[in-house]
Parts: sequence; structure tokens; C-alpha cells
Amino acid sequence: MKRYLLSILLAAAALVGIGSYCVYGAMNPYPDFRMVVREGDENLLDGAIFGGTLVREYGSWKYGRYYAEVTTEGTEYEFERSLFKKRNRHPLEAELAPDAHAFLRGKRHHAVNFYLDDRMIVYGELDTRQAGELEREVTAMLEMMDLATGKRTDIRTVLEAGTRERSPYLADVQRFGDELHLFIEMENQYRVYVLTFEGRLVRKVDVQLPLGPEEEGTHRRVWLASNHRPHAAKGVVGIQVMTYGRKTAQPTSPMPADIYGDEAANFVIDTNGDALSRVDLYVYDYAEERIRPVGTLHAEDALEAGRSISNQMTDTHHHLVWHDSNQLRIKQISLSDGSVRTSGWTADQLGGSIGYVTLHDGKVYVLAVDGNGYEKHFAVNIFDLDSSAMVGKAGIEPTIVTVGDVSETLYLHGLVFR
Amino acid sequence: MIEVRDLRLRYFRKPVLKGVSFTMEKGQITCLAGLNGAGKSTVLKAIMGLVPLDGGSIRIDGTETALHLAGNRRDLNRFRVQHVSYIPDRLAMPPSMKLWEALRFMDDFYPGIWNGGKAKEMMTFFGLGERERIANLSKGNAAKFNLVLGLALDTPYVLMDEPFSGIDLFSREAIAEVFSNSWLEDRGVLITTHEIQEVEHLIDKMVMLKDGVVAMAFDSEEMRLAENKSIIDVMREVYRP
Amino acid sequence: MKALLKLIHFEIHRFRYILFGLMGLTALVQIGATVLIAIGDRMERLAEYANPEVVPGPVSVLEPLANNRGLYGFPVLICIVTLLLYVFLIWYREWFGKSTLIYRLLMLPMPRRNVYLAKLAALLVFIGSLLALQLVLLLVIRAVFNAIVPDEYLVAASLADMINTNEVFQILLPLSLEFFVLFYGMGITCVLVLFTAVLLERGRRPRGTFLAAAYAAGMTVLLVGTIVARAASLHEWLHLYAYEFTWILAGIWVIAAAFAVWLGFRALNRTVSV
Repeated sequence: MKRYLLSILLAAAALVGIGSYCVYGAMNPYPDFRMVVREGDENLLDGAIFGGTLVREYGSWKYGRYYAEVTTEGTEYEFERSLFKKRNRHPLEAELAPDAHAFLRGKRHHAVNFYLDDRMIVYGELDTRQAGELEREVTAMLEMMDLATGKRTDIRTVLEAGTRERSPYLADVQRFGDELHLFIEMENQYRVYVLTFEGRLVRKVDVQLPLGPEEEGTHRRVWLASNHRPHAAKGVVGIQVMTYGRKTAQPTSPMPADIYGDEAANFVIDTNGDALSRVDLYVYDYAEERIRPVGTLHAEDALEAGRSISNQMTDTHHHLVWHDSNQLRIKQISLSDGSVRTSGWTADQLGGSIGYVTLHDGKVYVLAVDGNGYEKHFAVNIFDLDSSAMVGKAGIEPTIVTVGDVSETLYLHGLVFR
Repeated sequence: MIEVRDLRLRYFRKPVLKGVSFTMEKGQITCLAGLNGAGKSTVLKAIMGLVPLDGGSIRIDGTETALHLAGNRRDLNRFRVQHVSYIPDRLAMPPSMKLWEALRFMDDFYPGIWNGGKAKEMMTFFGLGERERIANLSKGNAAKFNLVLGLALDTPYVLMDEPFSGIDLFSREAIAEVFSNSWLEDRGVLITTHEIQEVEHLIDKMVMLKDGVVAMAFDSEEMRLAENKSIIDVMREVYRP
Repeated sequence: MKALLKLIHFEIHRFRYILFGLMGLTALVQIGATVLIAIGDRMERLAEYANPEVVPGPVSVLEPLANNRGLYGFPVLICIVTLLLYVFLIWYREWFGKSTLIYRLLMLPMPRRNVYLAKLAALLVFIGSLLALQLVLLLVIRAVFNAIVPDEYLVAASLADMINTNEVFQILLPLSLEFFVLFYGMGITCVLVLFTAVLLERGRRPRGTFLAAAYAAGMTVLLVGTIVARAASLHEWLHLYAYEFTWILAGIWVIAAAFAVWLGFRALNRTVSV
């Protein structure tokens, strides 16, 4: 036996070494943060993922930056991301029965291209093909599934035989009765195509915005409003016409204020160097098949004149949200009567300078950061857009972990929903 | 009995064995003869499963052992090694090993087959020192040690590939003596050699390879009695063009 | 079973000097570098300490590791290259060289697959022991550094952070169990494929060379193909989720490994020629 000492020792060393490493490696030496809802409904953070960077600080020396994603379940660091587990959950999975999930396979686009009600789910895609020298043929490809029976239908309909448009954009899919309506941005205007369930193109509606010529010294941009539940059944599509005038203030760096510091309020300007002066809201009404004006709001101060505007339309109101590190402001236009209401919060009210704002499902999530240096406390305030009421608060636990001279701090960059 | 039937082997496009068939019996010394390149070594290696064949059958005491026919049999290798000891024309041991380490290797890996006592006897007979390193052995001593490694295995059959080639006269005599004493008693020996003179008197059966087949196979005693020819006489007849 | 263990020992034993050489080289370079850097650092700090205006910052063993990645990684790369060469040589040495040990190995009274398994096991022991050595060396390096640099400047460093300083370490000692199994599983599969390719090549000419080349080419295309497919997100085209695709690709590697072993055994039993 003594002869075999070498082999036995080497084999034992290999096993012990690897074994203890595997056990050790499996124990994550990095802190496990988790998001918790401190006030409000538990599912306010459903599907929420906070991206952040873990920084270890040795005295004044920062070392070790590891990208991490924090959810209510815990933290996943970049090096432990599993290739074998399901990652991105399709946003519609939460609303579909499990046996209908297979319908979501292979669908490249997300919520806007879907339509879901309690009777059926529809998914649409546009395909363009060369049809002549400069002309293209645009085809709508729709897949429908009856939720009760699980029966699937495929439709392929040519919408345009020869158009100059190279990349038409499908903005909304709706069903009314036995007709499917596709709201499409094509050739710099909006058009609605109405199809039967068999795929027959019944009519086209040209959506014309009743806009006069641009005023001297201004220019206009038209954006579709983003919807809080893009896949849901709704009767209108929101259209924002934004008017920009000459710049009225100093242009500064276009970087958004980040949570590391507090920069003075500056506002970014439209790419031409102009500031926003007015927003006119229109809606296309599917039932009446025409455009209706809703309301107007004017930019009142530097904050509203530019800066990153987020928007979200709910069933009752359209919201525009501005923020800088010191304040958050929401203006809502009522869809029924066009009245405008303003609400807002300051950094002090929110518990720290405002770092990141995310709109999701009719709510606004505001990430506020208190402190500088090594003390960073995060608070997430959640407000309902329609009512402007605070519906919840969330935070992260633990906030900082300090071991000896080494402190580990999680710097959050932002919040997404998956 | 080892029964070899219709062995075929092509090397690149050239056929080396075109249907070689013969038998060798226990208790007999059979000699496989042929000109250079006739394939004698190849036949021995084929019997030992060291070279795959294109066709043919090899039966050892009735059991089929050709690679292409029985290669999947689980204990084929063990069966073959238990029955046949092959002594190649070179020492198949790491040159850095000392002789006693090589003997210990055999003892380790051939339990029940290796006869340590016989090995010691042969070492003394050949005058080989255990502490010598294989790399430092003279050609003659290496050949002798090769015999020790092969013959100390208690197998009913022994295959020897050119045991005399390139060896000095005195070593040759010592090796030839092995054939007359008890170490080869009752065993079937198949030997290939050019030096017929050394062992002509010992050979019981002669198998002559020519052009890839067995040109002649005969009992040497019968040949002498019936036609009054020695083995060398017959060889001249067969191999002269 | 005992016979197999003896054969494994035989394979380990004949490689011992090279293994010790590799271990020694790695230890020497890594510890030596640490000592030199630590002493240099210590001198620097003591000098700074004498100057009341300068407040030297804290330091940990991570600094030399991060700043000298090539130096620390170099001996590891030598080990990897050596072991890679030995994947081939462990077989080819039996045919070439003075002893043609292949005769002896094929004539041992045990199933021939034991020869394959013993060489594989020995190789795994070499890799495992070198990995264990590297882990120990990281601890030693940290201890040495901490011993030399004066305490007031010292900051602790975790093993995980030390590993993350260097890409070479990150691959050899991944911090997630899943990646460990993944990388080493893939590595072992490659070794198995190479073993089998060598054994095919050692069949009778010219068929041996041709078979080995065809097998090696085929396996390379297949296995590299899985990597490319995963990188190119082929799963979208197949209407699969990414993680499902990963499972399938992992399955392909497992099958490739099993096939390699089966084919290698078969080559050893039927077509290998001395």
C-alpha cells in the first residue's frame, strides 16, 4: 500500500480541493439583497427587476464591481446567472392560463402586438416584401387562439400591394365584434385596417390629424401615447402632438441626473435645440373611426420645457411625467373632458434625491436615494397615476453590509418589469 | 490447440496474408517460416489480438478470439492472455524501470498467471541482476529478460517472435537451451525465426509461408522418415525461385 | 477493480516528475511574485509613513493580483498547455519511443477499456490536483502578503474576489457550481473525443488516419456548432426558450461524450494495431 502513496495523496488532494471548493463556491459570499414591499399590496413588485452594481469598498478604494439583479426573491449576480433556468418571463404569462402559455412561444414582439380579452388572444406581425422597383407589399400575419377551446387560427392578409413604406409599425391590435382592427403607422401617417376573422380586408381608415401648418419658429413631433396595458381591449389610441419652440435656456449635458450625486436642474432639449412648449392630445376612436381632440397643456417652467418626459395612458387619463433630481411632476389630461390636473412631489417628500422613474401598469415607481458617500438608503415610492395617491412603498434589504473594513454597497441603476 | 483459419490482411493496398491456415498443438514446437516481409510476425500479433485482421478465424482451445468476430466478448482479453504468452521481438517495458520493478509489475498485473518462482529460476539461469536498469541492458541480456517475462507466465501456449535475431552467439546458445529444459514442457510453442539452424533439431512441426499463404506445413519427423529431407532441404525447395 | 486502480497508479507514477515540475513552477512564480511585490509595497509604505503629509491608502492582496494578471496567469497557462499536450502523448508515448509499451498494455489480463479508463482517471487526477494546488496557493499568497505588509494598511480580501481579479482564474475556478460543472464537463468531453480520435488513428493505416480525421472533424463541427448556435440565439428561430435550448445543447454534449467513450472502447477492442 505504501507504494501507492503518491497516487492516493494526489487523488485525495484533488477530491478534497475540488469538493470543498464546490461547496464553498455554491455558498455565495456576496450579500443577498431583496426588494420588499414596505407598504401596500404585495404584488406591486410583481415582475420587477432592479438592476444594480455591487461595489466593494476597501477604505477609499473601490474594488470589485459586480452587476446584480435584485427582485423580491433575492439577488442574482452576473457570474451566477444560470443558463439552465428560465429567465425572461413573457409579460402576458401572468394573465394567461398555463395551458395557453404555448401560444406565447416564438412571438418576437411584446405586448403591443397582442390583444387579450376573456374570449381570445391575438398576435400580429407585419411582413414587408419587395413588390416592384421601389414598392413593397405589406402583409399582416395574425395568429388567434380561442381561449375556451384552444383552437388556433392563422391569417395572412395583404394590406398594401404597393407602398413606399419600408418599415410599417403595428401600434395596436383590437377586436370589436367579429372584426379585427390594426392600427398601423405607415407612410408617415396612421391607418387602421379592419379585417374579418377569416382574414378578409374589409376597410381602411385613414387617420388624419387635424393640424394646421406649423407656426413660425416652432416645429412639431407626433408620438403615440404608450398604454398602461398595451395588450388589453380599449376603445382609443392616444396621439400626442408636441410643439417645440426656440430654446429658452442654456443647453447643458443631456445626461439624466443619476443617483450618485445631485446635479442642478437642467433640462434637455429636443434634438434641434428647442424646448417643448405645448402638448396637444388627440385620440383615435375605434368605434367612431375618427380622431377626436382631447385637451392641451402648455409647458409652464423649465422642468416641463424639456427633460425626459415619460407618458402613460390609462383607461381614464393620459399622464405626462417629468422629473429631475429634486422633484417629480405629473400632469394628467382627462380623456372625458380634457381637463388638466397637476400633481407633484419633492425630493424631501420622497425621502431622497430622485434617481429613476419607471411607469408600469398605471403606476409610477420613483427610486429616491438619500445620502452620499457610503450611506445610501433607497426608497421606492409607488403612486397610482389616475388618483395621484401613494399606493405603496418599497425598499431594499439589507441596505449596506459592512464586514470589517470592507463595505459592500449596492448601487441601483434602474427598474424594469419583465 | 490453436487453430488459425483463412487469415487475411491487407496493408495499404497490398495483401500480406491471403488466407493463412494452420494449427499448432500443445506439447509441440511449431515453427513459422518465411522470407522477410512474409507476414510471420503479423500472424503472431494477430493471434494475440494486437493487429486487426480483414478476415479469418483464430480459435484457442476451441474458443473464437479473432477481434472482428469476438471483439465484444467481455473477458476476451483475459481469456487470451491466460492462454497465450506472447514474446515480441522487443522488450515492452518502460526503459527507466529496473528489472525487479518489471518483475513486480508482472506479479501485480498477472495474479494467478505469473509464476514468480519460475521467474527467479530463469533470472539465475540467465545470470541477470535484478538491480540492473532495462535501458542499460545489452541486446543479449534484453532478449533473455524478454524470455523471462514471457515464459514465467503459466500459459499453455507461447508465441515467440524472432527470439534469436541480432543476438550474440553465447546468448543464442543460452536461449536455445531454454527449449530443451522444463520451462517449455507440455506447452505449445509457436516460434518465428531466421536462425533455423539453432533450433532445427527441436522443431516438431514446420509451417512455411509464401506469397501470403501456407505453402507447406509438415511434421518434421515424418518428413525425415518419409522423404529423408531435413527442414532446410524443404525450405530450399520452397523458397528458391 | 483493483487491477484498474493499480493501472491508474502506474499512469500517475510515470508522470510524477512533470507534475511536480508544474506544481513547483506555479508555486514558485506565484508566491515569489507576491513576496517581491509585497516587500516593494512595504518599503513604499514605510517611506510614505515617514512623510506626515502623505496618508497612504489601504491595500489588499487584490492589488498585486489585479495588476499582474499576466504574471500570475502565466504558470497556469503553462500547466494547461502541458496537460493538453499530454492528452495526446499519454497515448502516443506507448507506440513511439524505445519501449512500445502498447504491447504490454493490450496484453494485460483485464478488459482493454481499463487502459482507457486508467489514462482518463490519471488525467483527471492531474487536473484536480493542480486545481487544488491553485486554491491552496491563493490562500498562501494572501497569507504571505498579509504577513509582509504592515497591518495598519491591510484590508481583508475574500477568496472569491481574488478569483475575480484574473480571467484565467475565473474560468478555472468559476464561482457558480453550475458553471464549474458546465466548463469541466465540456472539457472532459473534449478529452474523451481526443482520446477516441487518437485510438481511431492508431488503427491500421490508411483507414485509421482517415477515420480519425473524419471523426475529429465531425465532432468539432458538432460541438463548436452548439456553441455557435447558442451564441447566435438560434433558439428564437426554433421557437424555444433560451433555457430549453441550453438543456438540449447540454444533452448533445453528454451524448457526444458517451459516444466517444463507446467508440474508443470499440476501437481499443477491435481496430487498434500495434
